[in-house]
Amino acid sequence: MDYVRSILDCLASLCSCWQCTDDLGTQGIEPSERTHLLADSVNQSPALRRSNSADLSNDYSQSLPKKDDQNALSRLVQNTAINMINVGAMDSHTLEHQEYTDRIKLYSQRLQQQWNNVQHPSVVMKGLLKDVPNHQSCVSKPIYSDDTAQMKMFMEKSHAGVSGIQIDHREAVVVPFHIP
Amino acid sequence: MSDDIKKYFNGLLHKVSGLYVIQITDRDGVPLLRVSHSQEKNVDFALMPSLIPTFTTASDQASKLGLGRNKTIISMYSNYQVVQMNKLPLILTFVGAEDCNTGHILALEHQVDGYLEDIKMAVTES
Repeated sequence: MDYVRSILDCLASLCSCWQCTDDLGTQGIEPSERTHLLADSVNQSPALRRSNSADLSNDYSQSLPKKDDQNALSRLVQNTAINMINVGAMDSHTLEHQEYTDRIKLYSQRLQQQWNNVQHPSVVMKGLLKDVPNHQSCVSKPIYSDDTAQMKMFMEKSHAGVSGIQIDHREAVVVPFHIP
Repeated sequence: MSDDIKKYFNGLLHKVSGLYVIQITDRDGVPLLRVSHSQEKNVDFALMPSLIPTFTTASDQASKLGLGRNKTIISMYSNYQVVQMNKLPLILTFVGAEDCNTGHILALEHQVDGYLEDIKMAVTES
């Protein structure tokens, strides 16, 4: 009797699972209280857009219109994979040495072809600090005598101006406080 | 023409004191362009083929921590600093001394951007 009951329990849980996944599959189609206001909101979430694997998102977007349980399950798995921080995936990006050298050759060939059409960017930034962070190279350059003469003239004029300032005070400059 | 480009990047390299290497690679770390200080110490450790793919993955995974999508990762070591910029499908890598002005390195981004569009063409065609 216990054996039959356990089988029945198992069947019941399977049915509920099936129903659950079916709900997930039809969730975006029939309007209900759980329907998202924005259609396909999961697909538009930043986490999914962040995915660098085009295949995953393609599979996922194709799986949406179908009401297949398998697709709903795979969608859940993919969504989890996209949102999971997977440190182990770092090892899977290493290239074979042969492919590495082949790509270097390919890129150098293409760049050689393209460089002929490339034009220098005409963005010339003005200003000493922005354009030349390494100011020592500018400081070490020689200064022309005209520039020195102009600077001297400015200095003399400003000096004369400053020395010409006079204060014509009519009241006492130092005011004593009335401390009792 | 390629000499002109190299000269331009060499000029950028010499603008920032303490900057050793500028390298442009694809996202798998395959180099497209590299300029470096000839007399500088060996900084190849920072340009190992595994470092750059690790940056792309780390940048991608780190965005899931809740800090959002980042563009640049700056790694400070005892003797060096490595600045990596996400310009997908390209990765821009700068290696400098530990006391090199990081702000100056970051300021070079705008001066490199003009060329990156052309260099991207070589990668995206494949």
